[in-house]
Amino acid sequence: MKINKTEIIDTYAEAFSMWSAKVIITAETDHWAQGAAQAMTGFATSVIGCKCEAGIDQKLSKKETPDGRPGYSVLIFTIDKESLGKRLIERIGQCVMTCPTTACFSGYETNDSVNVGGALRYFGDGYQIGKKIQNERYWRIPVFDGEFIIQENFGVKQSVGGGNFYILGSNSKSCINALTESIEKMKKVPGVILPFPNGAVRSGSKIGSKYKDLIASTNHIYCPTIKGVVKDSAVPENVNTCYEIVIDGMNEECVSEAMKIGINTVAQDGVIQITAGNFGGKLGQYKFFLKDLIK
Amino acid sequence: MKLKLHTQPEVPLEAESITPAVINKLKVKEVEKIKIFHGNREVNIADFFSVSNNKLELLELEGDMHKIKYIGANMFSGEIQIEGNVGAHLGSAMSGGFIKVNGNTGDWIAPEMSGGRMHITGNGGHCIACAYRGAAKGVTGGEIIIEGNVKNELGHAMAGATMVVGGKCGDFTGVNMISGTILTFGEMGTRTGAGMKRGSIICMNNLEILPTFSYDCSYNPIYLKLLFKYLIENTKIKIEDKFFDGSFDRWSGDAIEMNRGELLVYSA
Repeated sequence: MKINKTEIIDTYAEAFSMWSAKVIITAETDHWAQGAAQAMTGFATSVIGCKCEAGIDQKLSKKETPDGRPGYSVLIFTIDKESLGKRLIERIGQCVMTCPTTACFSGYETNDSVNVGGALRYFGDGYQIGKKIQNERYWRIPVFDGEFIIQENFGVKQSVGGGNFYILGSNSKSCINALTESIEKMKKVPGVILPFPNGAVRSGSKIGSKYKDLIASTNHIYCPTIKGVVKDSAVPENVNTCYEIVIDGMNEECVSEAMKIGINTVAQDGVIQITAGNFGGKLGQYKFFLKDLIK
Repeated sequence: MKLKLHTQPEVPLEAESITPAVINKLKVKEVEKIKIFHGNREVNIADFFSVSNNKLELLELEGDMHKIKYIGANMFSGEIQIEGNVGAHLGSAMSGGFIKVNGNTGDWIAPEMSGGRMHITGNGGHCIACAYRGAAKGVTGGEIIIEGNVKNELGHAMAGATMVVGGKCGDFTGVNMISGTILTFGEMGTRTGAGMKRGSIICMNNLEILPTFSYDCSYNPIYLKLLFKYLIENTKIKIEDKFFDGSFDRWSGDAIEMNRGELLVYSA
């Protein structure tokens, strides 16, 4: 299979079930809302080392936020529901509550929820005030510039993590150019995040290691510098650079949509091959076949 | 089911049985025989109402029912829509469901309410959502929206409900309040929040602040933006743009009690 001159390997990306929450952060100005959203999604590239994966989903207009102020929606993913609650409390408490003028709301309306505001309220040291509007409880926590408003319960749901594809190119420059354009388009798909720096990974990993204490290590078969010594190297002769793009999404459809846009955009001159990571179907419930994603 | 008043009672009717849970599961003939009290005499619903099946889950009432008390008492689910005025004790001890009144109400509505919603498009009387005399607590939950004016003692000793008044309030609004929210848009009577322990009284008009309240600061509470947005989407109360971004003076009190209550008064 080919798109332009780029070969598409007949394989699939294996993704797995994760729990996600959508957090709406608002503030007096876009500047402060963005600051809080960026802080909250920092150090959240991979559950392997960061305990969660997070990213900014969309910039929201005043009409799209609960309090009519500028805002951002942030998606955060963890392996289980319990740890999602913990990560939300940590990250909202340290990164959103601390940011001037912000407020924080749940972006999902689901039956499943975790108590976030109900835990953070104790920061109010007894001066916090709970308020109910319809069936939702909000907490008003006194802070230096007024009050931090946070919803008590945040909706959570089972989602999809680890959607991916690899691009293999003749050199770093051509790959980076193609990646940048592709990632910008993928980020516009609602309900997905690309949790790694600017959306791409150069240190793709495999499960396990020769060192017994490590749960993950470099996916050596895609490392060009050692292709001469790795017997099962997946790096073709004319390839000198590989990158991975990881996609987490609210559901299978949006991950698929983002992968489709990404693959079809990234297939440019200098990108020799596109493939995907899987574990032979043993790890994840979701399979995204590259052949189904080609326009 | 639909009940239409055909005869005005000479003395108040006590109609605790007019709730969706009692009426909606019966046939028209059975509803007509439900007992209600006309003064101290037991009568049938049919003596005062014509009953018809509207084939809806909604219980509809029509007519000038200002002498009919206890409609929706102990209601826990379902919906009542009332076209016309209604008497005292509407929604007494209700814990769920929704009552909409397109008209005015009498005194003492929603006593001992713990949940559900009530929306009145006209005016209310005295002692709305008020604790009975001698009771430590009044309403403990739910939501009451009155688009018009109310008289004295709104939310006396309330503990957890949300109340919104589009017009004026009488004296002693939120007196002895324990928790919850009262939001008012019109002029206020005297001694608002007297003896309040916790809770919020939010006024869009200036009011007499009792000397046992202390001034904290002037700020723009984000919480009010959520409340205003909800009211715009669900009521006809006119909320001016200036309230969204305006400044509110915050007063803490009442110092004769726990001093954890707040008055938020729109300033500019």
